[in-house]
Amino acid sequence: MSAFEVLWTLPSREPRPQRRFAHSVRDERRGRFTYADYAVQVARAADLAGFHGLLLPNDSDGEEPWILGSALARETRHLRIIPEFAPESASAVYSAKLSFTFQRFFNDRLGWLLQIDDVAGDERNDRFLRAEELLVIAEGIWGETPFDYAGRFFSVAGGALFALHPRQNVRVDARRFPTVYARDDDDAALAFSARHADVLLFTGRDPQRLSERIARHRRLAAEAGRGVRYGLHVPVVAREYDAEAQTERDRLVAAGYAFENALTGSYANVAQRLRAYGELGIGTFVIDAVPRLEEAYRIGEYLVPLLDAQPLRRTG
Amino acid sequence: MAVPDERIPIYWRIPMSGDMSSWRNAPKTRGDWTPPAAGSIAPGRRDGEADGSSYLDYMIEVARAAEAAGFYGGLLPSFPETDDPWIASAAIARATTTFRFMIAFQPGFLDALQATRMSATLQRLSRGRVVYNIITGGGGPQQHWWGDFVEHDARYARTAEFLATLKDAWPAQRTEFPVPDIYFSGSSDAAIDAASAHADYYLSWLEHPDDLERKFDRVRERAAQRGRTARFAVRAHVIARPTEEEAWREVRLGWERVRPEQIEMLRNRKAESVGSQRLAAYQPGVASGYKDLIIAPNLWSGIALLGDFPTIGIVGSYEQVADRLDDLVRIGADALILAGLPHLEEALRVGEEVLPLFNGRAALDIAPPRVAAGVSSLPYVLT
Repeated sequence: MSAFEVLWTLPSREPRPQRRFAHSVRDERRGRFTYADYAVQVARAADLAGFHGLLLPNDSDGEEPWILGSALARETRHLRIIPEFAPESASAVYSAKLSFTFQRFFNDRLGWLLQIDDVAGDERNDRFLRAEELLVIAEGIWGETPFDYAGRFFSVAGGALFALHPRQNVRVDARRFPTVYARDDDDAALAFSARHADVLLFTGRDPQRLSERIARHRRLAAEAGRGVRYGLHVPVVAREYDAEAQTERDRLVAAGYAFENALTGSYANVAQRLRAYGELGIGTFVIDAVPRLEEAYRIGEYLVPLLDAQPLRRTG
Repeated sequence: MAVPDERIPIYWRIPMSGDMSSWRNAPKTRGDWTPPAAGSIAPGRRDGEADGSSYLDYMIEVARAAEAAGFYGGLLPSFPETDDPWIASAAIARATTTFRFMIAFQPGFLDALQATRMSATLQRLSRGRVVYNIITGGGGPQQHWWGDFVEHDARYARTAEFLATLKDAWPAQRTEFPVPDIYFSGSSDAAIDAASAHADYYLSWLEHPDDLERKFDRVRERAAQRGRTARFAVRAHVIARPTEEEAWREVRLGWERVRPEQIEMLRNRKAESVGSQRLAAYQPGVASGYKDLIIAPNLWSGIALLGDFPTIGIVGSYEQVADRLDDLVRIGADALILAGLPHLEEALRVGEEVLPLFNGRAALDIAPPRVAAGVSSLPYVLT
């Protein structure tokens, strides 16, 4: 598809404002067409349109991303499914167990997006410590050798996912550890993601700050002996002509979508802007666009192919 | 004729870590949980290459067979050596219509609010087909494998707190579906105490009916003290054949691969789990043949020797198995969880041949059948 990794975004609750289908095509029976049905359609659209993955943000008022993600994985073939979850939502072993089954069922298509609450000071350090313990245990038991660890938040003794039944000496096929996505660019977040993330996602698009944070992060990751890739969240409104895109963006904003700062323009211009982020070291784009199903096709067909018009140095 | 709301829900077990082709053959030949052998059907690989399917595909076939055969739903157990029931249920939900998912899980492993949200999403996704099998853990090294170092009685206190939190948090989920029914396992005093407060169904492995009846009495008494009415569920493997002889022949052929040290091991199992201790007590010290493990008509206590299953199963003709299930209703069972090998074909067989003979609540109005002649009930001691 592209030298870039391009991910699609699916919020875990009904879009607001609600889609208004004509009465003739609406099934009025209660509960017959649920948000999960819509989510499956969006996931299939993203899968068919060639996106690499689907990010499922964790919204406490929305659907739970692990459950939704499993249902979506069953209905897609290629998409990496990336549920966002908080390290405290399950024990470290149980998060790894959920992940192992997911990898077994869906051919290694799981990604993790770690949710670290935006709290202050020591509490935030505790959140990262917990995330760190989660990663240490999950990676530690992701093998055949019994693993022990006693942490402040999580512990395990004799854990090993691939040698599950000593009595029968049963061993199952190795599976890839989920691809770990982290976000946030404050110093605590950078220190954590340098040690444990595969991809660090930025939300702010200021090129100067991006350059500075990426350079700093590369040094931290190198100290940990690791390479990390970088990604950017981008709301996008792209049309054939700039003016069409601007009109559409204004309509979305008027309808209540937070698209004021969306990357807006013709396909060629938006692609050029994205390629410029590529020059800064961004290799992953998490694209947010509405309506989710239709835009997956539009952006897959018109925008993504232009990202490689000028071949880029692959980063990370 | 029983009225619909008095129906006894009958669940079938979904095998969560591979399946055996019969009681006679030990290795799991279905699924990739054991190394491939001649005759393996291991979805996921074809001629050594990944083929785009996975063990989930087989689980879905079992669920569809059970659904077609008239089962109310399925139990999805959870152990270190199994796939995870939450992920499996979410994936199977859209491939089935009425099949309920009885998800086994230990409350200590999930944050209560997280479990609430997972359940509410799965309720919406499946349109109200979620059921819980709350387990509190067998203790020992397996509990440490899970990263859980909380002691036995404290685990039950934790379970009780978890369920209270979940029920409190449910209304905020704004779903039209209720809190899933809670099937609660555990044989210790701490377990029965927690069950009396929170269980919709108190779930037990099959034991000798006299022991089961006494156990139910304890639960009933404890629940009554809390002003609640206890309901009961029994879980049993069944070997049902057109004739009793054919059913016992399966047992005999399976028995041929049992090694004496397995019997010894089962007898001497030093488990923290009170339920496991009770089942171990049904094992004779020495067994010269499979018949030594017959503890009552059609009840055989060697099922655990033939695979990773609970100890006691029902063996007999279709009529006898149905009669024994009726017996369970007579001693108080309000729900049943059955299983057989292989899970796919046996779901269809039991659905077609046994369930139509099962009287359900109507069994309460029918005199118990005379037990078949020629099957001796051995004396046993529950220590």
